Amino acid sequence: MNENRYKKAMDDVCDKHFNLTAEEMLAKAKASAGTERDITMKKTTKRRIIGRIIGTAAACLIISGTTATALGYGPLSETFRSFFGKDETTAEIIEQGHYCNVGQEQSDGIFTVMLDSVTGDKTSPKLIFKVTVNDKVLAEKNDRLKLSAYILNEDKYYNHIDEYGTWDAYGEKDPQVNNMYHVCMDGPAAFMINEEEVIAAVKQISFDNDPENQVFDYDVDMEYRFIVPDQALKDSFMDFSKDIILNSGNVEYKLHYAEYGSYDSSFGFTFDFLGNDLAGDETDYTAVCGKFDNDWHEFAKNFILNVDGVEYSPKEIGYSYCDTEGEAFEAGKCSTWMSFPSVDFESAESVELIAGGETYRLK
Amino acid sequence: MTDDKFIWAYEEYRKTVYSVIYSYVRNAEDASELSQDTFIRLYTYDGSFDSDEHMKAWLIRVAINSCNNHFRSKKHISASPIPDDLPADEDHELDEIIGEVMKLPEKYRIPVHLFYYEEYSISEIADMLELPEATVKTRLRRGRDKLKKHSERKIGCERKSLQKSNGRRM
Repeated sequence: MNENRYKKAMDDVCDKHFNLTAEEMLAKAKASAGTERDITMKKTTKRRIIGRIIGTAAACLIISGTTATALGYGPLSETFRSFFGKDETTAEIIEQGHYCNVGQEQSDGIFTVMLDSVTGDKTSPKLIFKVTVNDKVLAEKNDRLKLSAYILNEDKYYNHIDEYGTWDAYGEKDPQVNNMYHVCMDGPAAFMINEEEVIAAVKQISFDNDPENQVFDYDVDMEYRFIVPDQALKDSFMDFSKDIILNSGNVEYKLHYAEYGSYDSSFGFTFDFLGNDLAGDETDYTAVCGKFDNDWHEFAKNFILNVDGVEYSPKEIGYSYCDTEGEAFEAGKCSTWMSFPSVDFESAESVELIAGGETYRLK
Repeated sequence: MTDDKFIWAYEEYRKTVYSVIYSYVRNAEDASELSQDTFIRLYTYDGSFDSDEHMKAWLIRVAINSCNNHFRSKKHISASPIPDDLPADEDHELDEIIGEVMKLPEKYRIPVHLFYYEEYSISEIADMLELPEATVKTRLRRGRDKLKKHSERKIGCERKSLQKSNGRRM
């Protein structure tokens, strides 16, 4: 590679896109100074993991029905009623017997992290961690912590990890145990509903306050392997049968799936990434995606889900993604999604999606 | 930090910070925002630096952390693999070399950038990325090999682009 050409090209990109004067940058820094957290360069070396490496996947211990009562799912469902935003939905899912106990623990001396269990539904699986912080000051100064983990299958973990982001979740301190935190982390349904081995690799534990060590973000490396049995996650109702195309005026969005879960009702759409004029002359992939995302957000924000006369507004509107392999891959096509609150699809008599002034019957 | 020192640091390291962030996020707008965040963090930093080199290394480390947090906050996007055929602007020869480097997977791209742009040594890159030196060496070698293959492939063949059969380019 020609180093000088690379340097010059990169300098040109910088001059073109990041050209605040020093005085302008100083003014911005001063304006933001009150809200920024102090951080330091002190870094930790990766700590030796003294917890055992789990070489083979352990299947979850399924606890369901009357056995669950006997073995005590009660504490776990109560955990959801006490923590995690008083999550009654998950508490009920657990009481219906949909959870599995993993019970794998690793420690590096400073942190002991147990992957306690998996629960949720097949749209939104949840991993429950218990984190013990053995540094007294750190535990004393923080009512919460943040856990960051990769959750992937083995192939993605070993061969494609750079292409994925971590899942993050905050943990709340247990009022009874002053150095223990309860963390509920959402996981990727795609890797957790096939009864295949899942790897959850906790990579970082972060704190808001770290007056003594001044580290804040602690690197860790704790891997957990497990298989989630089918019945451990509550079924969601999937519908791939509707042939519906929504037209925003710029893009045609084809309904790919509707999934009615316990936490939300989500709808996935595909659109032709290469075959319309929205991108114009834009060549930057991310910028092109941005144009599609703007169109989608403007269009979808007015959608209404009508269930037996009760109208629901969108809960979350997603961003586009383009599969490059696997079952969902279709050349030139990308996907996007949105969600409404959870509805009881199976009991409902009428379900309609109102979009762009049109009403589409879903049931 | 005094205003004068901040202004000096910004003028001295503006390109360093922006380019390392751009190498991560491959998006000019996001890189600009994250660069501003990095300098705001410098301004609010209460600690001291042993030397200017120490400050530069600190800025790079903070920039990399910001990029990692940026990807985490975009997990719905990054949950899908990033296409490896990012197009570069064909009209500008200089952009091509950026395009080629940016097509490299992140694990090769960042060491290549730090090595060629910042001229850091392998041991300095290893320290900065918290990787063993052997890993950095391997990644640099593989990154260079990939770049070489890209340039060899380009001789005598059309550049791959997101081009429709009617000739309109996205």
